[in-house]
Amino acid sequence: MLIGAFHAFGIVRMGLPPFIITLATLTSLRGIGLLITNGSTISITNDAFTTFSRADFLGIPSLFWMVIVVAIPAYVFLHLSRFGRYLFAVGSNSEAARLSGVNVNRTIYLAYILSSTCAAFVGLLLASRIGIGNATQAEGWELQAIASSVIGGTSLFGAVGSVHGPLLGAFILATINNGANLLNVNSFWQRIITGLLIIVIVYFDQLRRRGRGDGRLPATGPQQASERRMKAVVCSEPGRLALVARSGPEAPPPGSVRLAVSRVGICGTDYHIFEGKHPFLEYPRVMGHEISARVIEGGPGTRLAPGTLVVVNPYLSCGECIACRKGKPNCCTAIRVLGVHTDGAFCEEIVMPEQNLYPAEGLSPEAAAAVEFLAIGAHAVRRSAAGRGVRSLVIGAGPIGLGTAVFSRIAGHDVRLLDTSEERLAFATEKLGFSPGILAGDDAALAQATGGDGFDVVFDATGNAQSMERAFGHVAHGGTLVFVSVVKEEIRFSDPEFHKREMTLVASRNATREDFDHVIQSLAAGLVPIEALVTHRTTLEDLVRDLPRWVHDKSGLVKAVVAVSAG
Amino acid sequence: MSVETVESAGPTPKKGVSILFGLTLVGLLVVLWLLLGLATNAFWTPNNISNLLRQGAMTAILAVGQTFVIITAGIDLSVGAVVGFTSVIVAWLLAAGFRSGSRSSRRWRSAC
Repeated sequence: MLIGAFHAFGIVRMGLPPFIITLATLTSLRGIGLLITNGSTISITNDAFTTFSRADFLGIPSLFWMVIVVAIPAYVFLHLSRFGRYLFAVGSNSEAARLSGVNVNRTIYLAYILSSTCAAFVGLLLASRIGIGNATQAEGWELQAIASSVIGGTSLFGAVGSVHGPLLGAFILATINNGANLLNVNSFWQRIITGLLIIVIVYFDQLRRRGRGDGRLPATGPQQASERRMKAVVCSEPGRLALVARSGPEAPPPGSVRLAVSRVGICGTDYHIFEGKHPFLEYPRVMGHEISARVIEGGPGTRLAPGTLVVVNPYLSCGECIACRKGKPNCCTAIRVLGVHTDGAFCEEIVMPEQNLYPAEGLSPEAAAAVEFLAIGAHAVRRSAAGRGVRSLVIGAGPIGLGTAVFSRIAGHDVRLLDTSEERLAFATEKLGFSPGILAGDDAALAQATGGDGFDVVFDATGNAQSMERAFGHVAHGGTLVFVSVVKEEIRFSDPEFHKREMTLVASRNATREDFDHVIQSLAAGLVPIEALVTHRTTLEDLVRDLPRWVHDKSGLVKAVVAVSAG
Repeated sequence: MSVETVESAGPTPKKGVSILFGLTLVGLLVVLWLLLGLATNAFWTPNNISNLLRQGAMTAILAVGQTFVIITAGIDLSVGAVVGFTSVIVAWLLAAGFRSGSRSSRRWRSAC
């Protein structure tokens, strides 16, 4: 197992080709083995150990039972478990697998560890069978193993294989060797036959792939460049956007779906990435995470029909950490957001895990692209746990604040908005039908709004530390403060003020499927004034010109949407 | 949009192919056995069959392990050496005192 881990380490961390590192181990291990044995062999005198391999059980050699012992868990692992699917996904297209939330490095570790563990197990059986430890034993068995696997239908190009195939392959090979022995064919011929078999089978494998027009070549394959091209807008470095043609995603791995991007909303985060204000971001980056899209094709095991309009949940969670185990993938410890940590949807096609796609029944493509940013607000309202009839205050009338206000209203709250901009407050009143807003600093109006009681729920969506600190003072006794937006700085508050209110302080991060569903239903029911919220529209081609403009000129801008395709 | 250039094949019926392929392999194996049975009297003897099963067993287990790696588009050339190396370690451990009284399961664990 250690050896397997070492191989994976060399491949994953040091970037060595698998061929080289395992070849290096081959010769080193033989050397170490010869050192231990001083160049000779160690004989085994333990009878119980050596008789095991000669024993029969139910008339079948115990060694063959060992095959069954290995094959059943291997079958379950490869064909029925999540990790098996990951193996195929990595072999099919490791980049797409990574984008779909598969931990590629860990999957590679797993594969090599399993291979070495199987080999160690065989070493044990071999020692039992021949009764000696000999470092030069099993010479050429790696080729036998590869040949068996390939005869059994495993493709050396990755992503195709089974457990029963290699088993049959191994016995076919054993039969050929056995027959050759019985017929007194020189054992050297057996090796030649094995070699020729590999060449012939790999050749046919290649023909089959070409015949199918299957594009699944290694990720760096030269043919890939001539595959489908797609347009994408890339932020190559802060302040630079470029429309480029790049190769589109390949066939989706199992459990994932290839999508034609329909509409993408532009988020504050996208402007921050463009301006270089995002703290942890690697350029170049394709941005865009507020996505609606249509299904082109599903990978094996998926159910979404081609043509279905879906909302894309851009949060890729690990599925294993403490938060994911609690059913809170929105605050996964290893969360990755499409368009931030990995390339997003300012392009024509993406591949996503099916579990991140929610059918957008009854929604327009544009409304479906608004679901993600509205879900942030819906999540914040759900986090507040406030019932109908309470008085709520939303600080910050930007897109997230307005979304929060809309869902606060849908939850039956009496909503007021507070902002520094009269223009934004007027927009909320005139276009979205909210009660007159309160201008920041107008403490009299603020106090008057609740008769001096304070608000039962206060949402801060400003992304401003000072505002967050002041927000404590707006909360009624027994009320709740929800921080929707996040800041880098520390914030301070007075404990007596906090305590005497017995205030609940809640952080709200991202959103979960429940929130997405709630937003989709609310949109379909016409409860969200989506036509008013989308104020600006552009296309992928014009985005290069429009996005830099909107960074500086946000007058009248609430939500801008990029129309990537007509559908 | 380049959607129209997409092959209309949809998800390839891989499951079906693989079952058909498996049957072909079984067929090939049976044909080999029949041919060898015709070619030599020594083939269909209990001794030879169990010998064949033993011989194939080790390769089979190696091949299953190897398959995991090949599926990820990698290759593991070290398995033969790992087999030899493990046999040395096992023999060494047995010689060094795991000789008597130790249950086989414990030996296995120490070898892996």
